[in-house]
Amino acid sequence: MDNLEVKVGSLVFKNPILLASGTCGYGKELMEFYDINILGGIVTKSITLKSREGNPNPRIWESYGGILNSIGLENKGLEKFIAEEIPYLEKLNTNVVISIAGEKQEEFYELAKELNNYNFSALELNLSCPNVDNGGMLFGVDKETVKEITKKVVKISDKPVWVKLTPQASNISEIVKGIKKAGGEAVVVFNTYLGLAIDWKNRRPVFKRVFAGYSGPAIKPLVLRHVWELYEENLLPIVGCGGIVNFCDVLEYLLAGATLVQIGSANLRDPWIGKKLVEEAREYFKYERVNEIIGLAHKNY
Amino acid sequence: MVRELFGEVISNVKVGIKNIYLLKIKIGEVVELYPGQFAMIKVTDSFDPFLRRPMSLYNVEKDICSFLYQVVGRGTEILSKKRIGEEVNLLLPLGNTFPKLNKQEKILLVGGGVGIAPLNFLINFYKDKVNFYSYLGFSSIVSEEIYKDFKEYSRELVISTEDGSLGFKGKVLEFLPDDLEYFDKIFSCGPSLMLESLWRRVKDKGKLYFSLEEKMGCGIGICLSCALKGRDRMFHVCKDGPVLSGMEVQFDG
Ligand SMILES: Cc1cc2nc3c(=O)[nH]c(=O)nc-3n(C[C@H](O)[C@H](O)[C@H](O)COP(=O)(O)OP(=O)(O)OC[C@H]3O[C@@H](n4cnc5c(N)ncnc54)[C@H](O)[C@@H]3O)c2cc1C
Ligand SMILES: Cc1cc2nc3c(=O)[nH]c(=O)nc-3n(C[C@H](O)[C@H](O)[C@H](O)COP(=O)(O)O)c2cc1C
Ligand code: FES
Repeated sequence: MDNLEVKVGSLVFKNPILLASGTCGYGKELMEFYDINILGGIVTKSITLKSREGNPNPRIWESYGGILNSIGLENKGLEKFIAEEIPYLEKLNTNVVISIAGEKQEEFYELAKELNNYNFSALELNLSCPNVDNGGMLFGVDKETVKEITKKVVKISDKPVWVKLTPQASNISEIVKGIKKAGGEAVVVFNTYLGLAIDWKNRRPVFKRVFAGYSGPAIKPLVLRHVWELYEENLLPIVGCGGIVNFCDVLEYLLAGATLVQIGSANLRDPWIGKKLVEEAREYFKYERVNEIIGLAHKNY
Repeated sequence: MVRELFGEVISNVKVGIKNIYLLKIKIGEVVELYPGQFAMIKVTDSFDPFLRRPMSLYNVEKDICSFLYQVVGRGTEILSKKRIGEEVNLLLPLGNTFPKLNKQEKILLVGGGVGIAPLNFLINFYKDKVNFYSYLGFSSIVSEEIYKDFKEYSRELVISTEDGSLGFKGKVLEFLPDDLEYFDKIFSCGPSLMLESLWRRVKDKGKLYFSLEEKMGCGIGICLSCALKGRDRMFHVCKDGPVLSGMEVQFDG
């Protein structure tokens, strides 16, 4: 077994580096930069049943050490996704996780069902987007709703089901317990934090929807804390996501207990970040296996 | 193919009293670059501010890329402090280009403030093969260095400033010729109000080309930050633009 290889549920990853939903397009956009097959995997931009135009401008704003976004799940919808993206994604030689989102619970079931016809690694349920009026984060803060959606999708889908959590939920470990009971294979910790930006020059909120999702280096310690706590509870494999910009950050997540990591905002600054992290991982794990350090920090204090 | 280049600052000087700077970066190799394209500049190696900054190419001479920018916030402030010899990380080339020009075409250029940047690359690209008529507006006086190429290669050059400190006093659109249909193509870049009133004045919208600005997360089409509602569809300025035709854009109101 390769030192970098890790398993999550029924899936094998050639390394623990994945790119996060919404920050790597549908994958092919990054092929111009490097061969994304070297990654552990990619998570495609969340798709919905019908196409969505997304939110009005501005959609992005900076804050110290991070960014706020209010994209609003702009996507081409299932039909076009199947026609234009799936054929390409099916040919990739790495794990492809397809992120799905919906305003109504039924949309998740419909998406899961339609996607059964195609070949990919796992479904990621986006129950955590803060930038839409219905569904998204509103589903994700409610333990019963998360459990119900997960349970039904697990039943309908022939793929492993991951759930992407929102830090806005007050009872994260209860939510994860529900996901475990419902048959989910892993949890992604987290989507963006709900934040606010004020445009002081114009004396008004920056975003039309007022609140937006905060990501980037600034949130890393907040996310790490939850990875740590969830690891202690030993419920489900953890996919760490939040503020990773370099290889030290990857190690910190693994040591705190994540089996895989996802890289989000860093792709915006450096399209080659995924490649660079994989190369550094190869170097670092020459004589040691990734598996040996997952959660190791818990033994060292 | 988009590249990540580590250039070296060879000059970075103030060229206008409204905090306008001209930055020249030696990128160390010759890259195929066309007018209209832009770069994403990493203003700092630290992660704050986090995003790169989009900047149009103001000129390209062999392995030297120049940018004309105005200090408006944290990123451009940091950029303005870069000294000669400092390294600057660039992603380029990004975005589409202005349409190809034919020999002897009559081209009207309308630039506002640092919006003259992509037009300057265009005029340098064609020099006297094309008949340029340039109308440039600034809020206040700028150094001659930044419009000298317009002076050299335009059939006609009109400059105005809002305070009258250089050229005519007023907004540059007040000084445009009456008959805009005379020109084969019209290119413009600058404040959106300027673009909008120009757009309203030109009957044949197919002649008009704008270089547009929108807040960008990535500049390469992966984040969907730069969406712009066009007449018939949504555009992503970093991939579909920054150059859009007058037929494609839509102005509210
Ligand atoms: C394709 C393109 C070409 C451009 N070319 C030039 C140029 O040649 N010269 C020049 O001076 N400016 C140009 N701009 C605008 C320039 O990118 C912004 O002025 C700059 O990003 C401001 O950064 P800041 O940190 O100083 O301002 P801040 O307001 O602190 O920036 C905060 C965030 O908003 C973004 N932002 C702020 N203003 C703009 C704007 N007008 N357009 C896009 N993003 C903005 C920043 O990139 C940053 O992400 C261009 C913009 C685009 C999209
Ligand atoms: C521009 C942008 C778009 C995003 N779109 C999605 C999305 O469609 N679906 C999703 O589950 N998460 C989305 N996210 C959240 C990221 O996948 C990630 O969870 C979050 O940004 C935290 O990681 P980071 O700090 O590494 O960016 C988006 C984030 C950004 C910055
Ligand atoms: S800036 Fe990211 S898609 Fe255009």
